[in-house]
Amino acid sequence: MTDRTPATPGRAATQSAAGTSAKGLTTGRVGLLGAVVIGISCIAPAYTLTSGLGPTIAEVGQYVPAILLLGFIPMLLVAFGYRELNNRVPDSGTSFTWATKAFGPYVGWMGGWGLIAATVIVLSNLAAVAVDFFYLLLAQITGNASLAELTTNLWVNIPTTLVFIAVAAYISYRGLESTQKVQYVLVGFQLLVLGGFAVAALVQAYSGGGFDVTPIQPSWFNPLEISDFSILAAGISLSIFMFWGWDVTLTMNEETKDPEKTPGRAATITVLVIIAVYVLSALAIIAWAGVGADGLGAGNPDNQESLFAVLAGPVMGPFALLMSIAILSSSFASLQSTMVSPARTLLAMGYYRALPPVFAKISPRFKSPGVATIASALAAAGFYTITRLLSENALWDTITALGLMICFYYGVTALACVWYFRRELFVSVRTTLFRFLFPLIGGLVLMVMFFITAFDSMDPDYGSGSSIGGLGMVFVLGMGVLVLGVVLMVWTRLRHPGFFLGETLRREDSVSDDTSSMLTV
Amino acid sequence: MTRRILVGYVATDYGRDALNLAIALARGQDIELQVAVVAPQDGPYAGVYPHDRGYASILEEQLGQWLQGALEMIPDDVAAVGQVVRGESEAEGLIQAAEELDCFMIVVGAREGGVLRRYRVGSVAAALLHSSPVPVALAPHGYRQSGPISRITCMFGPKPGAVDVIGLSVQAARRRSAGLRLVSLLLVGNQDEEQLDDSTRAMNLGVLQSVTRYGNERLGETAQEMVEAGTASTQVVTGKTVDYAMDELDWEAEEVAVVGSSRMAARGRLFLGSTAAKMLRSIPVPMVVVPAGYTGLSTHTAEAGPAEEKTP
Repeated sequence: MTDRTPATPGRAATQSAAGTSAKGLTTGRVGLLGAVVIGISCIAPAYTLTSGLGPTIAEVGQYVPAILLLGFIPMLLVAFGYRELNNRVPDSGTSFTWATKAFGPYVGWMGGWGLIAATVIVLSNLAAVAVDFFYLLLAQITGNASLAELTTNLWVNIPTTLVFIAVAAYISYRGLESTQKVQYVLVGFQLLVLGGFAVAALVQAYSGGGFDVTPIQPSWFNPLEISDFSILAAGISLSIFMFWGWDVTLTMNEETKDPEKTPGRAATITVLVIIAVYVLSALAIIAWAGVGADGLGAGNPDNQESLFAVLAGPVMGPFALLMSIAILSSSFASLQSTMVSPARTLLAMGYYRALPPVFAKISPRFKSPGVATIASALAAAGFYTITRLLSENALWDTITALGLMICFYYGVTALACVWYFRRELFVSVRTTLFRFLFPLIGGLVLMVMFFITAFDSMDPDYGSGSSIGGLGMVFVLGMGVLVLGVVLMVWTRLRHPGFFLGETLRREDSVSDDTSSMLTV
Repeated sequence: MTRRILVGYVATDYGRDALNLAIALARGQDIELQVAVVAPQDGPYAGVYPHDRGYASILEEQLGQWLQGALEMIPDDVAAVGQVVRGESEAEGLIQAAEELDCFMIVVGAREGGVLRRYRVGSVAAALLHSSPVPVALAPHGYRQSGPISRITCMFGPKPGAVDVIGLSVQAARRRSAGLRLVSLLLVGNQDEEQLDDSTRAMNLGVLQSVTRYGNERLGETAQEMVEAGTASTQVVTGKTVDYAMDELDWEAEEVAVVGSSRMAARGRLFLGSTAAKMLRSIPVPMVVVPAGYTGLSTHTAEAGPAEEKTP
């Protein structure tokens, strides 16, 4: 007697262990606090502040609080569109599939590429920041200041960074991931150390102990004081980088104990906490160090790449060690978890034949995207090596290029939301706001930011001031990555035309789409 | 009553070894294979961003295809059902599935070892060997036998608590009408009163005494009956090290070795002892590791042999 049950995914899933949904997500385990912790951990504030605040201060000076508040608005508007798409087409949720459904294969391909490029760039930056603070921490522990200088030696810096990337890729390939306890500790520690830094800096500044004490002005919160639109655009695309990851809480549903209320509340609390931390840190740094271009000033180009590496010591004294630990741990944890993201998008693109099918390979042993993970790690390693060799301020330039890339794929995705729902936009007031108005404004704003920043970055003096052939480094990096995408897309179109002929993913709108986008191979 | 074996399948060579072993174990028996592929579970705290649900669908489809491939490799005379099970880790998923599906054994493959080694215990097998509540069968690398099992070798050493491993072996040999070989492993240097005597009779006696001493009286009597009936044999192997001692044993192609857990095992859990771990290096046949105090199959009293009634 033979009982052969066909192993259809649907059927097998119904037999799976209790407490999980059909899609491998843990259900109903995350409470409000947990969701906030997840949101903050995805932003990794200690890392974003040290690498993003410097370039932002370089652009907008003391108006950082204003630009942070302003930069959050398009992020929020786009996130509403994301949530709509995520709720409607939960089983195929990436910028790549959504944009393909809405705008067809070419825009969809570039949307996916934008996401991959953004995550690959942030990987290289995360690894580099982790390496900087690794050597700084070594110096602080041993009391040997020359160890911190090792990171400026390219023969030490680049290999160490590549090792960090390789380790993170291996962990990701093995399918190992952070646990609840680890995330609580990492997030709690980051907030504590950042809070401690800000309080120490403010107390010192107001007792006359700062480097260039600059009393806080209410005008710092007023974006209208920034007269130049280009500066505004640059600041916003940087602040979008600093909020990147926040919207993860909005896309959590089944995992939360109360899917109706938890995601929205968690997103609200997360953003309040993050804005508080950012604004407090920005105020403290500017009040303590000023925005001057000399010495410890936050406007000094030598300090822009990693503000905390420079300022933590003078402000916190021996406790600067804690800052190094906080940034090293948060950037390495992010490095490892972010590694998953481009790999999964590459895998999806391989699966839908938008890339050679080899990218769709899943490791039988670890059940993770093997080829795609290796490809992501190699891309991050390659991107970092090239940038480091070409630019004197690699980290600064990558962060600015990253802001560009996020604006691009976020913008594409938000507009994809509007177009995908084009036949269901005005069903109710709710849909008018969340499917039409918010994502449309958010998407348009981000696309405008993208084009203005891209245009301005052609100026060789833009950002850190590195340039190649008379063109700004940020422009070369950002456009180089996008042009590379176009080349790869054309190559794939010629070699593997199936996707581009609509054989795997068809153009759909929300009414025609039966949401079962899976291939039947 | 049909009993179930859980196969921890992965679409690799050692996954196929596990499948082959499960087929060999099930052949001619009233055993249904539950072929399980473990789907990794994204913990909510993994910090994966952006949240991509499409990936899970693609993964699920691939797992289904692998499972289908595994089921197609199983010959028609062996009953089999496929399962995609979930777990935070592979081992955890398998243990949970074994408990939920009421399986009496988990079969996994060993990874390819070095030169002349049939086993290298991978991380999943290692985790199972230190925590499974049911016996774990390890298929050596490249296992290609098709069953049925011809002989069961029960390996036990001079320590108390061998009742589980001897009981299981006696029971399994009887149920399968397979040969039983009781092997007492003595490392020279171990304090033991057992006299080493060349004569077969004395050797039998020694091993049977050990069965009584380290198992229980009831098992001793059963073993003696089987030796007298010619269905069981005994052997004492000695040596300075486990490797030397194991050299004295010869193996049949369709044989399976059964070993017990370390005394460090929590009751009802498996924990691979250091001796058993060393045996793994030199055993060319599949090895079944029994959890400490495993009384086994209490729900299947219809099939219970004498071993079933033993006192713990």
